[in-house]
Amino acid sequence: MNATTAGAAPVLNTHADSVTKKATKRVKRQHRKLADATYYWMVWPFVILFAIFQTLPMLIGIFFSFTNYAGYGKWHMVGFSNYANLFQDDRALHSYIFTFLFSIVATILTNVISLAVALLLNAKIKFRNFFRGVFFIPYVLSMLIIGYVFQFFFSKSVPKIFSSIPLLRDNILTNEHWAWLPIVIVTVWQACAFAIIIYLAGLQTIPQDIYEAASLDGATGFKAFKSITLPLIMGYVTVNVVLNVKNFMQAFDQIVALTDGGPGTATESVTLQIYNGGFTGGEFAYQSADAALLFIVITIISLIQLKVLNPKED
Amino acid sequence: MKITLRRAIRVLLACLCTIGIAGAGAGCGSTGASGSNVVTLSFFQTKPEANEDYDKIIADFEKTHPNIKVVQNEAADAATALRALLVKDRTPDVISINPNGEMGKMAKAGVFYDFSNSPIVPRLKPAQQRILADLGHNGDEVNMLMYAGNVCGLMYNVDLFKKYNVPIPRTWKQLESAAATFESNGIAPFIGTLGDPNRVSTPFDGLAPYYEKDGFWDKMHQEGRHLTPDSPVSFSRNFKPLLQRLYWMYQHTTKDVRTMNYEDGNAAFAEGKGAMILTGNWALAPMLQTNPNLHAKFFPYPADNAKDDILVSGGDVAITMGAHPKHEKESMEFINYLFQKKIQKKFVDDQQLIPSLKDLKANANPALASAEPWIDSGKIIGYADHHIPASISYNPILNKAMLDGNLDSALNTLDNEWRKVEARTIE
Repeated sequence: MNATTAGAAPVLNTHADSVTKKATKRVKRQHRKLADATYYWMVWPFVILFAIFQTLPMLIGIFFSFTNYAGYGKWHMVGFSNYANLFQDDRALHSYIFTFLFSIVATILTNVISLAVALLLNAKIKFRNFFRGVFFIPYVLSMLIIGYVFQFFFSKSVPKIFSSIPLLRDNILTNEHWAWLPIVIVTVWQACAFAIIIYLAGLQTIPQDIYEAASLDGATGFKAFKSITLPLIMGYVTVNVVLNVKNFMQAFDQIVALTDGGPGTATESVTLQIYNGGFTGGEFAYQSADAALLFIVITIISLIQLKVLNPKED
Repeated sequence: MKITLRRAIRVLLACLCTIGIAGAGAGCGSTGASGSNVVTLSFFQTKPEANEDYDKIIADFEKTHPNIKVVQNEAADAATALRALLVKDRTPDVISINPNGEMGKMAKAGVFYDFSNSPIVPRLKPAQQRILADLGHNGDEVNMLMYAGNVCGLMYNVDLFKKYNVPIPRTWKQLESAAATFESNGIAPFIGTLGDPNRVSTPFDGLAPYYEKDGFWDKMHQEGRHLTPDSPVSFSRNFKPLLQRLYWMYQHTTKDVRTMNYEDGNAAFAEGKGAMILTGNWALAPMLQTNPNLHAKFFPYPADNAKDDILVSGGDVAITMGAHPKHEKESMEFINYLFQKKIQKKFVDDQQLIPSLKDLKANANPALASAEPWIDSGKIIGYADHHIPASISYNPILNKAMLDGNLDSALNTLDNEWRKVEARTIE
C-alpha cells in the first residue's frame, strides 16, 4: 500500500515537469539527473529487498499453483488442474461472494462515516485537535488486538447487556446469518481512522473564499457540500475507496479474531481460506492457485475503480 | 498485504533460524576440533507445556553422557515448522511430536526412521502402538514410538455422581437417564463449549468408533471423487445417528453454551456447574488450577451395549527421528534414555498423560487411572478426525450443526467437501 503511493508520486512529478519544461532543456536536465547517483544508491537496496521478500515469493507461489506440492515431499507439474478445481469449488465461490459483499458494505460505510466525521472535525469546534487525536487512535492499534477485544465484547459483554434480545443474547458471532455484522462494525471502526485523516487533508485544500463566493450565490449547507466540497475532494474519495476495497478484499485479522470464519464457513474470507487450506489443510498448491486468483481479481477491481472514479476528479 | 507481510516475516524468521542453526553447527564443529569429541543433537519438540520437563531430562542425560549435548527446539506450529526443516534438509536429530493425521502422512512419505528392529518396540503397549501405525507408516516400518497417550472420553465429576447416586453410565440408555437425574436436580448434565468453533470434534471423535466400523474410512477413500450422500458409505448415510446423539448432548448443556469457550468450560466444570464435560485429559491441568480438589474420572462415550464400548485414546507425544539420522548412535542413546521407566513415569505424571511402557501402570492421577483398563485390554481406538483431511473444516461445520440443529445440511457439506478434496488431491 505504502509502496504504491510512494512510487506514484515521483512519476506524477516527472510527468508534470516534462509538460511544463521545454523540450530543448531535456538533454541538460537528464544529464543533471543521471549525475545524482545518491538517489540510485538509496533506491537500489529497497528494490532488492522488495524483490527478494515480495516479488520473488509471489512468483514462486504462482509457480507452485501449477504443481501438486503439499508443502513437503515430492511434487510434479499438474497444469491448470488446481485452477479448474478452484472454479468448481462452491466453498471458494462462497468465500469470494462473502468477501465481495463484505468489501462493498464496509467500503460504503467507512467512506460515508469518515467523510461525515471529517466534515465535523474540519469545522471550527472546541478541542478540535483533541477530537482528531481520538478518532485516529484505532489506526494505531493492531487489528488483531482490536479483534480479540471486540470478540470478548460481542461474546461476553453484549449477551449480558442485551439479555432480552435473543439475537444478541445468544452470541451474535455464532449466528450464521448475522455474524458478518460485528465483522463489518469492527472493520469500519478501524478503517475510519485512516480515511478521516485523508478526508481532512482533502477538506483543508479547499480555500475558504470559494464557500464565501458560493454563499453569495445562495449555495449553503447541503448544496454547498454537493456542488463544491464533494467535487473538490473527489480525488481523495478515489484514494480512500481504492485503498479500502483493496484492504477489505484481503480481510483476515479481524475475522480470525472474531469468528475464525464461522459458524461453519459463513464468514470465511478468501485470505482466511487460503491460510487455513494452505497451511493447516496441507493443500499448499491448491491455495496458491486461490491466492493467484485473488491477486488477479484485486488488480482488475483496482484498475476498474481508477478508470471509473478518476474522470470525476477534473 | 497482511498475508504477504506474514509470509515475509516467516521467511525472515526462517533466515534468522538458518543463521542460528549454522552458528550452532559451527560451534559444535569447534568443540569437536578441540578434541573433546562432543556430538550436539538437535531435539525438536512440539509441547510447550513440557519445556521444563525436557530441560530437566536433558540436563540429567548430559550428566551421564558427557560426549552428547542436546539442544531443545520447541515449535508451536509443529507441522509447519517440521515441514520447513524437512524441506531444507535440516531434519532434527530427535523429534518429539503430537502424532496426528499430518504426521501420519509424513511417515507414509518415508521421512521418518524405521524402528522395527529397536528393542524399545516390544516394551510398548501394543494397542497404543497400533494407533500410531493406523495414522500412517512407510511399508512395514515402525516410524513412530508412542511416548505418552491421551484420553478422549466423557469426563465426569465423581462428587456430583455420588451426591445424586448416579451410577456410571455404561450404555446410551443409562447416559440418558443419568442426564435426566441431573437435570431434575438443577444441574446441567453436560458442559459444552460452542463459543469456540474448534471443540466439537472431541465428542465427535469420542462417539465415532461406533459408526466408523467395517473399514468405513477406506471405503470413503474408494468412493473418493464420486462420493455422494447416497453412496454405499457416506457421512450422511453412516453418521446421522452420531450427530443426533451429539446434538442431544449439546441440548442438555448449560444455558450459556453458545458463549462458552474452552477456558470457560474447564472453569465451569471445575466449579461443579455440570456433571460431565465433552473434553479429554488435556483439560485436566487447567481444571485442577481452578479447583485443586476436583475429583474427575473418565468413561468412554457409551455404546448401545455395555460390552461394545471403546475408548478413544491417541498419542499425545510420540518420538521419532529422520529417516537418515546424522548421529544415529547418539540419537538412539537419547531415545533409549527417554524410554527409561523412571523418566517416562515422571514425564506422564507431570503432564497428566498415559504412559506407553508396558511396565508402567496406574498413573498418579486417578482420572487417568480410570481410563487404563480400556488401554490395557486393548479396547481403544484412535481419533476419527485424523482420517478427515484437514482442509475440510470439519470443526466449524460440526460447530454450526450443533448451533442451528441442521444436521442433514452439515452431513451434506462434509460429503461434498470430502468429494472435492479427493478430486483435487493429485498424486
